Amino acid sequence: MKKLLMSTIALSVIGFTGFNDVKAAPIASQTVTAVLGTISSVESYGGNVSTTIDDTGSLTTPLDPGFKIISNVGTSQALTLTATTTSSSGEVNAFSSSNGNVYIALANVNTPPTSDAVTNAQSDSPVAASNPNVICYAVTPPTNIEGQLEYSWNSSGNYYDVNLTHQGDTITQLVVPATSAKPNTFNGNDESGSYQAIVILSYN
Amino acid sequence: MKKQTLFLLSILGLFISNSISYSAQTPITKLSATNGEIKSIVANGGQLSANIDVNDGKLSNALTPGFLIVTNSNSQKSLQLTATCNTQDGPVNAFFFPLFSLEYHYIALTNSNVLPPSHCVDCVKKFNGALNSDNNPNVIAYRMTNLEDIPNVMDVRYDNNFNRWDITLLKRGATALNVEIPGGELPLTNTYSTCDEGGNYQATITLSFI
Repeated sequence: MKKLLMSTIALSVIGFTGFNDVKAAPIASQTVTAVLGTISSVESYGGNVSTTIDDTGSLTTPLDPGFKIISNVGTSQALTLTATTTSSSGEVNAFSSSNGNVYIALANVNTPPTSDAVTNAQSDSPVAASNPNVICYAVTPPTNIEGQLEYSWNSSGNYYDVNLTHQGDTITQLVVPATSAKPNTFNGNDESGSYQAIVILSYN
Repeated sequence: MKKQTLFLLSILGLFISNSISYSAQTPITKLSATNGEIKSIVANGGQLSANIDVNDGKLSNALTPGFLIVTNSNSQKSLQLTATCNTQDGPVNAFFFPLFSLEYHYIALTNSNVLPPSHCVDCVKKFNGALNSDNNPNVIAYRMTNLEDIPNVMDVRYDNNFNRWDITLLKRGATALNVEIPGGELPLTNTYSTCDEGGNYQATITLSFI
C-alpha cells in the first residue's frame, strides 16, 4: 500500500512536471520542405535537317541538327551521340570511321539497302556496285565547349562519348558539311528517294 | 490483509482522535496553488512538404505550417514570426520583402543537400532575383500569403527592417496561426532555373513570444 502510494505520488510529480514542460515552451518551429527532382533532358534544337543531293552526290547545303541539353546536376554527366539508319533488315549504326574520318551513312528509306550494303559503304574501301541505296558523308568533328561539353570518338562502338560538365542549358550540334560523298558510295546504283539517318543524343 | 486492515483502522483512529483533540480550536489551513502565466506555442500540423515542378518551379501544393498559441494571460502579448534558411555560412533570414513588391512578402527556400553560399540568398533578396538566374543557384523564393489582423484576436505587422512578422496577441486561451506558401504559383522571377540542383529546399519558420 505504501509502495502504491509512493508510486502514485511519484507519477503525479513526473506527470505534472512533464505537463508543465510542454505547456511552458514559448517558441515552436516548423520546417517546410519542397522537393526538387533531377533534370536530365535533351531536346531537338533546330538546325537544318533537310537538303538535296546533286547529280555528283554532293549535299547542296549542310545538315546540322541541333540539340539542347538541360541539366540541373552539378556534377559531370555522360551522354552518347549515336546515329542509326534503315536497312532492309532493320536499324543499323549509321556512324563509322575510316581513313581518319567519321562518316554518317544515309540510307534510302524508299528502297532500303541491305545491311551488307551499309557495311560495305562504311568500309575503308567501298565498292560502288556493292552498296546501292547507301551514301556516306564525312561529318565535322563536333565542337567541344570548354568547361561545358567534350566529345570523344568511341572507335570500338562507332559513336561519340559526350562528357557534360555544365549545369543549365547546353547547345550542341552535329554538322554534316555540304561536301561530296565518300568515294564509291554514290553512283548510279543509288535509286532516287529520301536518304536518311537519325541522330540521337541521349544520357547514358 | 488483516494487518493492512488493522493499520488503516489505526490511522483512521488517529485522525478521529486528532479531530476530537483540536476541534475546539477550529484551525484554518490554507491550501495554496500558484497558477503561473502560461505562454506556450506548439507546432500545429499543416502541410509541410511539396514537390517542385521541374519545368517551371511551381509548388505542387501549398505549404501551410501551423502553430497553436496558448496563454492564460489577459494582457496583450507580443510574438514574432521569423524564418531561416540554411546556407554554407549558417542560417540566414528567409523572409524578405522585395522592393518592387507593393503587397506580397516572400520566403527563400535553400537546397539542404547542396547548400548555397549566403550571398546567393542575398542576391535573391537584394535584387529580387530578377537580374540573373545564374546568381542564385540552389535558392528558390516563393510568395507568401500575407498574415492579416484578426479582430480581437491578433494584430499583425510586417517589420521591414528585420524582415519578420510582429504579432500582438489580444486574447487568452488557444489561438491558431497558420502560415501559407501557396501552391501552383511561379517562383519569384529568376529564382528558379536549372542552376538549382535536385534536393530538398527548406526553410524553418519559428513563432515565439518575446
